[in-house]
Amino acid sequence: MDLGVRLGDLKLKNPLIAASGVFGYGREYSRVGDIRWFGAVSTKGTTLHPRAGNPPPRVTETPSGMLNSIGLENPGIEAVIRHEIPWLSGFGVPIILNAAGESYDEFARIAAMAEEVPEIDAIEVNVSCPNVNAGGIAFGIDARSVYRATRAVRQNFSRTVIVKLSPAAVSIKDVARAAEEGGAQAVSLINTLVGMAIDIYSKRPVLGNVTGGLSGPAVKPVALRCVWDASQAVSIPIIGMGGIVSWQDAVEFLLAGASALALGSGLLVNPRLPPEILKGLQEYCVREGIDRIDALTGLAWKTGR
Amino acid sequence: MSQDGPVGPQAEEPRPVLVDAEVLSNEAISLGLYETVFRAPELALEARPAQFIGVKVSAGRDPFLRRPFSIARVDRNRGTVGILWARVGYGTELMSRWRPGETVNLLGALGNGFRPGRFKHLILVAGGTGIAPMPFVCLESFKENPRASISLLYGVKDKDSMYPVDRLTQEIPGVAVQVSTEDGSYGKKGLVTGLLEDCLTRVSGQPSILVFACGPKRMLSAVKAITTSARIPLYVSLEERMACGLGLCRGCAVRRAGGFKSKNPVDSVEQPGPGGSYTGRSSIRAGDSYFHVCLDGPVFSAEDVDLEG
Repeated sequence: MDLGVRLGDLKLKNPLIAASGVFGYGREYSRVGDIRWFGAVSTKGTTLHPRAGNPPPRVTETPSGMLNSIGLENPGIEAVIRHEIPWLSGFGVPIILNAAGESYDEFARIAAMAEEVPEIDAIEVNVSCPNVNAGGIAFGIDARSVYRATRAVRQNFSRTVIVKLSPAAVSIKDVARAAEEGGAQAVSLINTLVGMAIDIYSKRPVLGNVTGGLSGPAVKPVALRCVWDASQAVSIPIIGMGGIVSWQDAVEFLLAGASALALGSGLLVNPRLPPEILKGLQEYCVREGIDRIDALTGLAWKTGR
Repeated sequence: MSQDGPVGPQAEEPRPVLVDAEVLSNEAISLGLYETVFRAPELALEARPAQFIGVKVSAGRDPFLRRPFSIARVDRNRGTVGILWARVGYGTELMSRWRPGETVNLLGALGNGFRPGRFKHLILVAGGTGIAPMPFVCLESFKENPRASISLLYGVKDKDSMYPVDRLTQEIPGVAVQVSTEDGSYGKKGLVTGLLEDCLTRVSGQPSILVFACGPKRMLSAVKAITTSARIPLYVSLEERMACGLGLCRGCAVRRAGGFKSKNPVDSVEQPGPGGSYTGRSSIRAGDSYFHVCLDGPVFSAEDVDLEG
């Protein structure tokens, strides 16, 4: 049973990726799980300058999911390169740097700095964070700005470029194509959906930032539809994510058109999710007589009605 | 870190474990206040006072996130861990229906915990469900320092919703418990800060007094004002909305007092977080930065955190 998948030049030993934002830079996760469980890991969204993040409360439970408005709290690309990447690279798991620029120029500068660090195997261009005033989702809803941000990274980074897309895009197909035309070797989707919650006693929004990103099982149907759309619009592989908490969810995403799968808020609830999902995937493939996991990708639309 | 400070997990400290724990008992001990006891020997062995656990209320997708609860009781011989909690919303409504024999998934022990070290007089201040960590804190402090005096000052809405404090006084003869209720139905009428002021008047001038407080932020803020003017060290156990309890998501942020203080100079000291982990301390900009309750806390020296926000 071959669980290996390819994302551009990047070879993953299995399709599971720790999604950006639930993994920090790996140190906290390593206390409760094994980083080597993953085929690759995506770092916390990293910006050119350090960011303190948004005022609390930053998270709240919602029906079958959660809202977050962390606000890209991170120590900045310099500190990440100096303190985090050397440690994380010791695990031998491909590192995807999630890069969040506030401008095309910032994307270019982060990419140029990452280019000098061979331990960074890929950049995930974050054009979809809903919790920052500048950059983020503002880039991700429009095909032209997705193209420009992708180009800015592509021209400064010679290894794998992935673009993380937002479900809020005017057309998922258009932004996925724009990423491909900009030089991306994969797209990941979805980032969170913008939502909110109100405290009926204080009569105010729960989150300090008013709105936040919705994730968890609640968004899974939306995510599946986005993967379905994007995978038929482009010829580059898709990293599917959005509410994966079981191997059955994982299979659905593969069938919808994903080549790899990222675990996000599911990992917050159960940090030991990866081995459970891998076991279920393997058993499913054996039962179904499939010897390569990548044979599942897109079967739901390839096999017709 | 001062000798009397909260003792955070160090690099060699035990890692959190995920356990399927059997509910041994789950019952209302007063109006809306519940106590649950789990069989969880691994947790019981490692848990320290003022640490917490992440409780997966039900096995499915809803409720989705774990709920953080202070560890209220630990019996290492029997391998049990207890939590005290108030039925206030959807998750706790479901918890109130747990029956003995059920299995609940727990993650812990989480957070730094509190060890008072050498003190002559420990004053514990609890407001409402802030009583939750106090039985464990009380018992361990007594074990560690049997000749010192321990006072528990407990403010609660009314007699009906009160934690039965005689449970504590029966176990630890030395502990002096005082209660205040908002309506005067038990103990002194008023807020717990009134009890604290009285208590500090009595012990004023004595050396080695330490205050540990847990409760609503407004109460903690008022307690901080009192201990600051009395020049007595205060440790607070904070609550914040939390997703993972593990430092993965950076969700449970609490604002630092005045940004970086000289204790934590920017970019000059690589100050490893609990568990030898990165918490962004050394590199995030000064002036506007946060601790995370799950990793840096839940116990903080009150002077380090902004309780006004």
